[in-house]
Amino acid sequence: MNIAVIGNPNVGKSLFLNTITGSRLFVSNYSGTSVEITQSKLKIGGQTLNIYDTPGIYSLNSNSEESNISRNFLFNNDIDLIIDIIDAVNLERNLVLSYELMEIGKPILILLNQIDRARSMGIKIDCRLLSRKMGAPVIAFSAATGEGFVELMQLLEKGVNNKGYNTAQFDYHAESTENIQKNMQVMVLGQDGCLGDCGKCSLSNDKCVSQEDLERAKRARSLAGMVSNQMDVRQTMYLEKVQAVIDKPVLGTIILLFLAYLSFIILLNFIEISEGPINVFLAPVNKIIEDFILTALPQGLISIVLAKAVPEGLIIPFTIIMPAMLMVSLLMAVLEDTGLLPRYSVALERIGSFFGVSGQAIIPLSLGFGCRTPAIVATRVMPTEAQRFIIITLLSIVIPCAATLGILASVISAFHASLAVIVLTMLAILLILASVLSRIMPAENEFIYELPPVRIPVGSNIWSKIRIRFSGFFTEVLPLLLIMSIGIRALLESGALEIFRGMEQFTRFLFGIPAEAFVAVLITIFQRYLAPIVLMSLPLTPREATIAITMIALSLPCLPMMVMTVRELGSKSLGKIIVLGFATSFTVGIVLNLILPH
Amino acid sequence: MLMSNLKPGEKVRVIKIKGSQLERRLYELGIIHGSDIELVSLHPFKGPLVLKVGNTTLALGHDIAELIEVEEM
Repeated sequence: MNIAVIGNPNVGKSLFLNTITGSRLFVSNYSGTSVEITQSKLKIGGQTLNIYDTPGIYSLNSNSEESNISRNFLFNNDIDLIIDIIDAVNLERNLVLSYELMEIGKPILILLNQIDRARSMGIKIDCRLLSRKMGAPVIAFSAATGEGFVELMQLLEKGVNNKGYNTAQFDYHAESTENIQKNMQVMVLGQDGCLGDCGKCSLSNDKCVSQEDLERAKRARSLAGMVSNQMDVRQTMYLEKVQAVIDKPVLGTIILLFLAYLSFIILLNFIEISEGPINVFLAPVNKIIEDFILTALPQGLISIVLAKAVPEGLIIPFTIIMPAMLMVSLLMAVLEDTGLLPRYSVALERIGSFFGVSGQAIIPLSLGFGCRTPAIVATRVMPTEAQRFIIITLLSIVIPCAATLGILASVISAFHASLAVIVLTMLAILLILASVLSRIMPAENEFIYELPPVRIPVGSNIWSKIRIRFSGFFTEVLPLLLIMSIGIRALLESGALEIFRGMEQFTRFLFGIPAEAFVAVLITIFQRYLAPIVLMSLPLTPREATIAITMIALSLPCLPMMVMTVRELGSKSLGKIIVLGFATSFTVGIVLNLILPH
Repeated sequence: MLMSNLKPGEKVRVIKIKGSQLERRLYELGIIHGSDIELVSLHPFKGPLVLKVGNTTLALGHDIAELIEVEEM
């Protein structure tokens, strides 16, 4: 039997599902969006129920990705029961969706969630009256206290035993399913039904509010007024005071920026602490693999390539990437669950709109200074794919991660290269790239967001978010990383880059650096950690070193990042970033050569 | 008056929403003719407004607030 769980965003669907089921699996991950439908299994009365979680939606009839996906899911699958989760604290708005769900004609169970929170706010709800008016069973529920859990299980079991759930008897006239599907079809086809300013047509439309919608809103308001009772006097809870401070324009912004900085520091320290033990453990494994390949395969290019690439492909992800991914997943989950994340888009909206990105961009950008590969995954909080691309491009080409910073620092000091020039150039490129990219990309300007209540993060929510974010790391990222490692190694070992060695005049003219240095730059662009090895042996003047180092700093993303970019945006986007990376690197080299005094 | 002219703490009711482009999105979040709204805070330099509709907190861009006509309660 299939059960679909539907509700507004922030009603507590995640926590509800964690409470009633053990494990949750990804069923569909709609690429390019952060919208997903997850499936869990629940064993009741000897049968296994499939419980599908849909993305939070405010209305079934909107044209957003979430609404379209949820609607299609409901209509194209055999759903035996809809569990409509409504927020006891925001009854009026939630009931609008409930009325829409009633029209579908499938059995519905209404779960009045967060009843404990409502109670603490002095809100009392007459569940029996609500149930009578809606014509569907209503269970007062709290994932936190467990209230309603037993009732829910009993009801689910009854349905299993009866081989189905009772279709609700309505006090409300439902349209037949056929009518609904016709409505849906009009919407999917586009805005053509619009009569213009506004006769308030009866058909729902993606941009407008129809007469039906207004009817539902009216009914929802009157029903909410009928069944709920708000006591006037109530204490402002501690969390509400915290939220009031965070929502203040100046103080709140300072706090949020400080938290972003703190997240970066935590990530940095965690990477440092975990690197040691992991290295100690993996170094011998590294050697074993390398030796094994060299002895097992016949001598030659292939064996050398594999012997170096396989450990490289395996070691790097484990030593730095995996701990960083874990910590970033944790930090992102906490920021999301506490309700702070969307507040970044509010606090930094003015700055963000100057660069054409949401203020939330500061999170992946700050984390990128620790490790950029998980920061790429963190860009999922950005509202549009265009903005994700912009931030991922900035991460790939400009933002230096901790490892890169370490490498750069050692090389800069060894050659007495100009730190000021390098830093200023990086800043300039950051501003230029961000501005240019945001002008090219289509802009979205509907700034209307719900800000969920600030709250203390819930352990099981955090855990399931980490698991979901982290999943696929071993199955998808590692194999791809291994293959690309081999590819890069083959390129380096084949000596293909050596042709540039003879181009002394060319490199001197363009970049002001010797051909050897140019080859070193190319090698380092592909494998950043080789920088000390290939550069240190060269006799470079401070000017030459400054140019070479800047060209390395502003170039391509590292391999794990490339893999992650393919996974998140696709290989075409990666291609664009690589081209842009080379273009930036060479342009910077040429320009610096022109403007830096000898 | 326009929503963009409110001061923090003021409570108003929505009279009219100009332009239908954002009507649906506003509707989804509970802002329609007759909704009761309280302004929580205002970000400087024409930054977003933070509002309360019922027990829900929302953020609205300044340009959008300029399209919403409200009256004091």
